[in-house]
Amino acid sequence: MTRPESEGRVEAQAQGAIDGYLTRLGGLLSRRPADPAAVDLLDELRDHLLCQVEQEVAGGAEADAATKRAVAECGPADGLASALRTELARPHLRRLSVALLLLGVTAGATWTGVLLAGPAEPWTERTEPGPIVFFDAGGELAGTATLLAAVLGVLLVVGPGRFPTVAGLRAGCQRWSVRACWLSLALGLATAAQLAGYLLVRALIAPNSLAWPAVIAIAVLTMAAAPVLLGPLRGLTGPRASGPRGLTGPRASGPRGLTGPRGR
Amino acid sequence: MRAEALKGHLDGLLLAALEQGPAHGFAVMAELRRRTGGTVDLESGTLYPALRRLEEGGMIAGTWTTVAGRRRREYQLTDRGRRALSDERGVWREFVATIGAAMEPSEGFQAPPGSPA
Repeated sequence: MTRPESEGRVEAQAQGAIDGYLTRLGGLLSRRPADPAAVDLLDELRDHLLCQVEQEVAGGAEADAATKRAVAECGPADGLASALRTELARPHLRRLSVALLLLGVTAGATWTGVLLAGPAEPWTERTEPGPIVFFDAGGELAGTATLLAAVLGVLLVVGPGRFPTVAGLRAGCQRWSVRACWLSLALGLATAAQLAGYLLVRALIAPNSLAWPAVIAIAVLTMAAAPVLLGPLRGLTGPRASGPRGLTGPRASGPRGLTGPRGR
Repeated sequence: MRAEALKGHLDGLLLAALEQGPAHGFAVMAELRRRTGGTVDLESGTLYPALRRLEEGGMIAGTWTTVAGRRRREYQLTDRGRRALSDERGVWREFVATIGAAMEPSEGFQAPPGSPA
């Protein structure tokens, strides 16, 4: 398909100002320049701006003035970034919450299996040493809470997207999902610390009561699984436009611009 | 029109704008502007998050095309979106009928007995 000459000319004239605007916006949207979701969104906005410029030029406006007007109507880059960041964060948040849940279930089941399949505990319920009781009970409690927080995170981030939603409800669920993810991460670390404490105490008291090759293998695998969380975490911790915003950017993300006529 | 009056109807408006066929974001915005005589003029910061929300909810489906050498994302209603639009329309008509009747000046109003004149 050949492009109309006038359209190409308009695009060339508008490109500089639009690129500058989109570069600023891209910097505010994502720390990673190759974030595919941000790239797609910027391409979509570029098309939007060029369509608007072309429409005005076809109506007799100067390309420069039309470009300035189109960019101005999009609003300041940081304001637009605030409105868009919540949606861009959703896929990362969904991946993080699902990864937390899967990792929690897998690690919990594997460690329980390794400990149960190894040598029997060299003490009875009555003679169980105090530190072992503490780390055992603490680990179970923290592990259960980790999984509950992870399930909550998944439900909060996945649920609202499946229904016709009010934007405020969706943004609220997303904020709580972020909190549930952080809680799950913190509790997961607490569970790991409890488990490490349990293994250390048991190793000191009765080193032969652990199946060391399996314990070491699973410990290495558990640590190797950390990158599964790092990818979505990096996607979530994008740059902040201004002010004390959380992981997902702005708190207010409801319909922002249902404006009346723009008074052109 | 005050922005508050439109909140809660944005999804329905976008679905209605896509009812005639696939369209990209700018065309959706222009269609709403045309239908409302310029009263509903969505900003990019409202339009694109809403389109993504609807897409994630399975009510619209987006596809990339190349037009005049640049990437363009077009959206079209899914079956689920058509059902959602139909529901939204039903709710809206009921709302207009009910609230419209209540808001109109009443003719032949009679104060209950014992009320001050």
